[in-house]
Amino acid sequence: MLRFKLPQGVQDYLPEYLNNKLDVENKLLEVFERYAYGRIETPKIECHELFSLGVGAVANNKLFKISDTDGGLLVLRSDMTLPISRVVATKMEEVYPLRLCYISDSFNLIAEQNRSREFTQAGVELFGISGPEGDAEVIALAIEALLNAGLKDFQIDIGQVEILKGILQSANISEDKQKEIINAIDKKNLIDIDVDDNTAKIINNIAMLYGDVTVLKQASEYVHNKTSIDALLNLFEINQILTEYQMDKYISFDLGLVNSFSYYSGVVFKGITRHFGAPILGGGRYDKLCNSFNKNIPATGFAIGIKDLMSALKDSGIKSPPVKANVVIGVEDSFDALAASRKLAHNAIDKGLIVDLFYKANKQKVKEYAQHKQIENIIYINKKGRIEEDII
Amino acid sequence: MITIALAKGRLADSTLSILRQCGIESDEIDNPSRKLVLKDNSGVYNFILVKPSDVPTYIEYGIADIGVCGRDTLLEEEKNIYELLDLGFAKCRLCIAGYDDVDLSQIDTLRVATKYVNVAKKYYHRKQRNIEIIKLSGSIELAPVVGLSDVILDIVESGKTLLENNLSILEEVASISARLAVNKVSLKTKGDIIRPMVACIKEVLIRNND
Repeated sequence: MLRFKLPQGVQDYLPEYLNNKLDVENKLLEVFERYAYGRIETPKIECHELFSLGVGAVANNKLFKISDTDGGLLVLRSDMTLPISRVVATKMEEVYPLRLCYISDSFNLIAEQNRSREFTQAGVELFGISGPEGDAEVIALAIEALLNAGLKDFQIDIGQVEILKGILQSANISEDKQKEIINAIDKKNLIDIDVDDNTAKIINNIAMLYGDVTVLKQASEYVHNKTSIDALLNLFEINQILTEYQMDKYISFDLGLVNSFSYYSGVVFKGITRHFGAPILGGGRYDKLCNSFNKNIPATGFAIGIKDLMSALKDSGIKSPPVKANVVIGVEDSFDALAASRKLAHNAIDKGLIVDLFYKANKQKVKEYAQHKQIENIIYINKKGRIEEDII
Repeated sequence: MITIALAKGRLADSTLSILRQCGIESDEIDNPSRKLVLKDNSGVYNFILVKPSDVPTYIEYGIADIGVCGRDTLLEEEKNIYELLDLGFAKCRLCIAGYDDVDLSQIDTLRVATKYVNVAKKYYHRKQRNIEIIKLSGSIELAPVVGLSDVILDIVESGKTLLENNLSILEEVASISARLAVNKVSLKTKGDIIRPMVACIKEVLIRNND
């Protein structure tokens, strides 16, 4: 066989895997659409400018770049939230709440962890709701979507970036240093951060607080600045709403949670399961992102990594049924046989069966073919266009 | 079931001694064999023995839930994992070393031999210095001696090897010790086992310090 190289981090989807993938995607989409999230598509290629604006700026070494015929710089989108915000802020009617969803491929020049360089995500964005009911809606939607896909034991781990921001601001820490500290908190590495003792103690207490709703109560003993207190109250409210929705068993809190995207401005969350070594879902509130387009639109949303979710489903023993033909029609080499096979195939298809036509057949070959494809039923049509029974 | 990644060698021995004090014992490990996956006596813990620089990779992928490796490896590999505890042993320093009678400021592009390519890049980027990195995987001290590089970036324990080759420590990049690293998902999904384990290790460290 000829060897042909694929670029690193991309893959071909063969029918069995693709069938599985589409099945998972459809199950997620079904839930999104139930709650009136309208599906949207945007181009895979965008101007570089979009990914270099304000809080949404993406590190240059993460973007696939292409130069345009006029010398301008184009990129392959690295996530869907920016393009969708662009559309919402520049093209859509200002009637809120505005609910959008997508199943789309994005690209990452560096292949991070087990993420591919071309990856499919299913996600939603909810625009125009600034209150906790918006965050609770998308978190509840994430839970329903994962359940509908068949995942059972998972949890949505929720944090709030303003808690730490409030602490760092009230300690008068420079922005460079803040980045360093946030990086350390992301690793729950409180050994190598260098701040005054009091701040270190608060950060230490907050960053290590994770678990059920009791951690919120504990946290309120440690923080005294307004930003952090408001952020905690925000989490209490979200917890209250999700409890009313009877979804509290799927949620937990991690006050040291800082998501990698710099545009998050409030609640952040990740979906985790013991069936996969990394989060399968990430999301949060990004109220400042539309400012890049001179609009002020509060927004919140999440994205599910399809490949990661599929791995988790596989590990938990859930598999979509393969699309397999129900019947092989073996057709001997004649016009009469072909005509008869077409008619027969249409009849079978009308009854909801999937037919697999095998041409220039003889009995031996058609049996081998059916065996290879693991199809149990064979119909055999001879040269005269007649069905011969009992060939198995 | 919890899988613990151990860096083959001295790190593994010190780690096992701490784990033993937490009641995690393994006859399979105490009786050396060529097995790569070993069990503890209770059957709750699996041990995998891997190359030190691979420990963070096993943890990031969730193949190992928890592991012990040097801070040097964590700085170099920059994996997306939790670095929960400083275990305090295997202490050393990441240093720039070279001949102390050479005026490095006269060299336009400094040649740096190291196995810590990322650390070197970052360190000299912060200093806004032109460098050429020469990646080696062992006997780093040899590079300046035979003229392959101007300096090296490497871990220094006693400094004896440097001394024997007339090399000196020129700058200190970071202090190193063994760290307990945990997969970000496992800490939550297997918290019922990992949290008490981390708490116990912490207690042992405090007790041993007193």
